[in-house]
Amino acid sequence: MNINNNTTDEEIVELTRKNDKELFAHLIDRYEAKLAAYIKRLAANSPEAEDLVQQAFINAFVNLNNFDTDQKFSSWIYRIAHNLAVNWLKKKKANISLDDDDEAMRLRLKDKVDLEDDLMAKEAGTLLIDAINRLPEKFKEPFMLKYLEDKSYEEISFILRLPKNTVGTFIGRAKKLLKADLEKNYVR
Amino acid sequence: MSDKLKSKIMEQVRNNGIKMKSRWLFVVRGLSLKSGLGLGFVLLVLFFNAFFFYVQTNGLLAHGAGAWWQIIHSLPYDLIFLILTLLLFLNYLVRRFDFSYSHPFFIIFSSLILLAAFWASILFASNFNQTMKGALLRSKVSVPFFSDFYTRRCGMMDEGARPQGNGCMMNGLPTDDQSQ
Repeated sequence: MNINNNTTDEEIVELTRKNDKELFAHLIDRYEAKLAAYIKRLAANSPEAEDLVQQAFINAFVNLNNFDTDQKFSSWIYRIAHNLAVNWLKKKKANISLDDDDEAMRLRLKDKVDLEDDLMAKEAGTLLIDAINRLPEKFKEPFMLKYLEDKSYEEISFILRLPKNTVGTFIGRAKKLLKADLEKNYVR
Repeated sequence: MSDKLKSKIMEQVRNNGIKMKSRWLFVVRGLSLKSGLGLGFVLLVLFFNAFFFYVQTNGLLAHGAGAWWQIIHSLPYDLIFLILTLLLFLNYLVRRFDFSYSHPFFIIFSSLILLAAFWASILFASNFNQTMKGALLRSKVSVPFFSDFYTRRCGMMDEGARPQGNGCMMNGLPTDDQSQ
């Protein structure tokens, strides 16, 4: 079977399991950049982030037979990446800390996060990254997955293994805290 | 990083440096998890039911609410400890299932307790405990915890009232000396 853009991840997984391990390369192609960006954000751009990305793909391959093709492969591999990054952070006794030199992220946040007024106007991206870094840990990752990785509540719920309502609450709360933080610190 | 990472991983895949775990491994793991959960739940129902039977046969509620100190003093703490341990174990097992994350811990834990208590009360209302006690009194095989619990500790008041015999007389049940 030819793999093209219309072939779903789940179909590739099925074919990789049955016929051809080489097809796993297509999944690497599809997810490498996304996972690298996600893990780098979680691991504060550490040089070890690349090893974590590699490990995420290795874990995915080793456990490919455990993947339920009724679910989304993207959520599954993000969950693997999340687990690896969280364990790495625990080992390093570090917190999630976004890098405010990341131009792409700055622009993305500025576009995506609507805090309902114009306080985001100018240096929005940078200010927002600083404010995100001041958020309580439990709010950071749901917020990042929503606004930086474009994940739905359902996918975030699967990746973080949290009830969907809790995800909604955390993201809503994070937005309120960000707004309050930005108003307090930056609005003149 | 792109090609380097991909070729590194694919080389390991080709050389069997990393191998896919067999599907059967996950099937067996899933079945063990389900069996463990099923067995644990049955045990939990039995323990809850044994607790109700203990309270009834030892007349703990007959003391009345004013005698709470006596009630606390007479509770079967080893059984309570077993129930709590089993609940923790079951909670650990449930959390390994994929569905578990979508419900809050409190909901899962209280559902587990309520469901077990419901089935235990049905068991308690049936003739199960009398039959179990009779069978254990007659049996020469000792069932860990249950033999001692049913034959010696349930209905201690009745036994105390009895002038002789090793077993306990409860609701006209055969005792060990009567049944032999």
